[in-house]
Amino acid sequence: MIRAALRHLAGLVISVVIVLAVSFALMHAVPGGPFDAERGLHPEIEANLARAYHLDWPVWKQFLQYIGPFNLGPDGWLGTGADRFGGVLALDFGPSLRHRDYDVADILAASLPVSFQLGALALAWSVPLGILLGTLAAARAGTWLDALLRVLTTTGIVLPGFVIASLSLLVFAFAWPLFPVAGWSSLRHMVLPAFALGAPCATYVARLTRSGVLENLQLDFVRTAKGKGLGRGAVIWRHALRSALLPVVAYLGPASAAILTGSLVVEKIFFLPGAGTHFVNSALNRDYTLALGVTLVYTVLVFCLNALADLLASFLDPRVGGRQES
Amino acid sequence: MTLLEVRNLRLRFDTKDGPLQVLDEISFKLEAGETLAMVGESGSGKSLTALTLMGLLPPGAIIETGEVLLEGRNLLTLSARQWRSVRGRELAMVYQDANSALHPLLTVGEQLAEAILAHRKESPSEVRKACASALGEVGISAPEARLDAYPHELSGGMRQRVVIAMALLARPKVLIADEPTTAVDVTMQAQILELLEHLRAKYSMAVLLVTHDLGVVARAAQKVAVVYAGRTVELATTKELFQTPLHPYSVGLLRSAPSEAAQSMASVLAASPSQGPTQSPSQAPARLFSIPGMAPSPARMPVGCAFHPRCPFEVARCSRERPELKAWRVEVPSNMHTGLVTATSRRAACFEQERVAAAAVASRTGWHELEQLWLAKMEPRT
Repeated sequence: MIRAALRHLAGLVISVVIVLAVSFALMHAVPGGPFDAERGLHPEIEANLARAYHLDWPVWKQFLQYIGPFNLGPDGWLGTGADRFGGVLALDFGPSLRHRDYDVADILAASLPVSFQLGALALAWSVPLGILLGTLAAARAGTWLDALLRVLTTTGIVLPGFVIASLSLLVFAFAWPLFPVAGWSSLRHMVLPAFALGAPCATYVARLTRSGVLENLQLDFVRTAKGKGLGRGAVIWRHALRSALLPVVAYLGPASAAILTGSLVVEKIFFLPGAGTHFVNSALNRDYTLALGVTLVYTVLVFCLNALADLLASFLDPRVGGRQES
Repeated sequence: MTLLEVRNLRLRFDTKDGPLQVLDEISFKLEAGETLAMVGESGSGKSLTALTLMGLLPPGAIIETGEVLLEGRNLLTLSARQWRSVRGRELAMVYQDANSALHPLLTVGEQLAEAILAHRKESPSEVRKACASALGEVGISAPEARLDAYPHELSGGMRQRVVIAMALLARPKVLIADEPTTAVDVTMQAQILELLEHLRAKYSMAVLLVTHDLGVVARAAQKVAVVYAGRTVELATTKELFQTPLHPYSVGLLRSAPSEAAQSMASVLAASPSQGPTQSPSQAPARLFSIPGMAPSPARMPVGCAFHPRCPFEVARCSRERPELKAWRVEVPSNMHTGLVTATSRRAACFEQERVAAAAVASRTGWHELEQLWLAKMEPRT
């Protein structure tokens, strides 16, 4: 158990380093910089800004400064305290280059909770519903219910998020004003965005579950279960569904990381202060530090949720992990 | 009294390329307390027959005619709800591959418990006790501890025993054992057969043993139904079949049984097979005979008797008419006596029963002639 945890941790550190290095290199390879504007700055001001944020250094040196707890500036490795780059290893993600007076940490602290709440709510309804509908579709395969669910799930997969979000706004906020149009203050504000965010996940889970259950219904152990005299319900929900959940769990690792970090589209449409917006905007604005900070959070989250999915899978499937073969 | 009777069971699958007749008049009777072996090549419809009896046919299978009578009640007319009370409680099945027949994500105890709880309510502690004792009964040591094990933690032989225990839990009247010894190693086979025999006697069940192995038949069954291309071609007691097979396919099966079966056969037959005077290379002891030709696929079933293209006893009639499975009053040479006896209980679907029986008896003094006959038959085709 401890060994496994250590192995996971080592994997996390390695992937974070790789992801950061690649993103750092890519960000700096893209033409343009954080202070480019339509109206060009005075060259001297630009040079001053570059100096303040060490943009005049070679990229490798900037990277080390970004990572390390050391100060590579002219004031020695401890610095004078005036330099605002502490390094990721000191849990300092630096100042945002575009949001004046904000550190990356401040921005994340303000926006991530919103995204997390929304994402958690989206997952909370979409995963159970997806599993339920998928199993129902498999149990009634070939009937009108299956056909209806297939139409629904296909629609959910092919419709882009902004269409679902706009349609739900149109119906449930304007035509039939059940929920507020936008904003972020109460649970009622979360309903529509959570619906729009969770819908693709629910449909995908439903499809995964349906095909898994159908596949399992052909297997020998399901025949054994029927041969004992078990009813159809027990055969499907207890025997066929159980092993069909394994691919669903595997999918949920990365999928929930994506949902928890927010979606630009949903946040734009509902005017939510979530983190999804920063993903896109920071890259477009060449806000190097914010883009890297967001990427870092996403990497860690993907990693942890994958580990969690593995753990859950090993609970579901005794053949994986922990238990020893006798 | 007949416990289970299958009468003229016909089954087909409708596929895109037209109907596939997979069972074409399967018939046999199983008396209380006896073991009947259903023998035939793979693809002959043995397992499908077993699944029909359990009401577990795959989707797409269509039962055309026939009856499956369990104590006089036709199972084929049962509703889904009625089936549920029959499965497990009156008919239970031991599956071929215990590895895939057990759910990989449920413990042995959970899976055993279902076999009881599907039919009656009992307290968890009683269920557990019953499951543990069932495991003990099939010869699993430390049964209490094994209840919490997952299937993958058990050996192949143990898994097969778990499947047997599961079938026994609801105390069925008929146990259907579908190739119970194919997936376990040779040393385990004898043990599994002994166990089945022991349990059959203890609970006075009837056993339908599906197998392709004549060694298993000789060891475990009192009666035999020989199945070829989805059709019962011969019904006999084991002793009768091994003495004087009446269907050419049975002759071929007996001839092609490996040495282990041949030994069992020899012990069934009083006469010891001796080699013919002319020793041909094909008669070297190590060489195994196999019936020339291939079993026909359901898509291209020969007209008339399905076996006639491979049959050395073929006459003109065989390719036009299909022989009924019936009690021909044939005089068969008895093994015990030198004279002829009339066999009335025998049933075989062959026009040339008497010639077959005579050849089979003659072949006890050497298979050579029979084999030559067979090779001569196949020569123009190959």
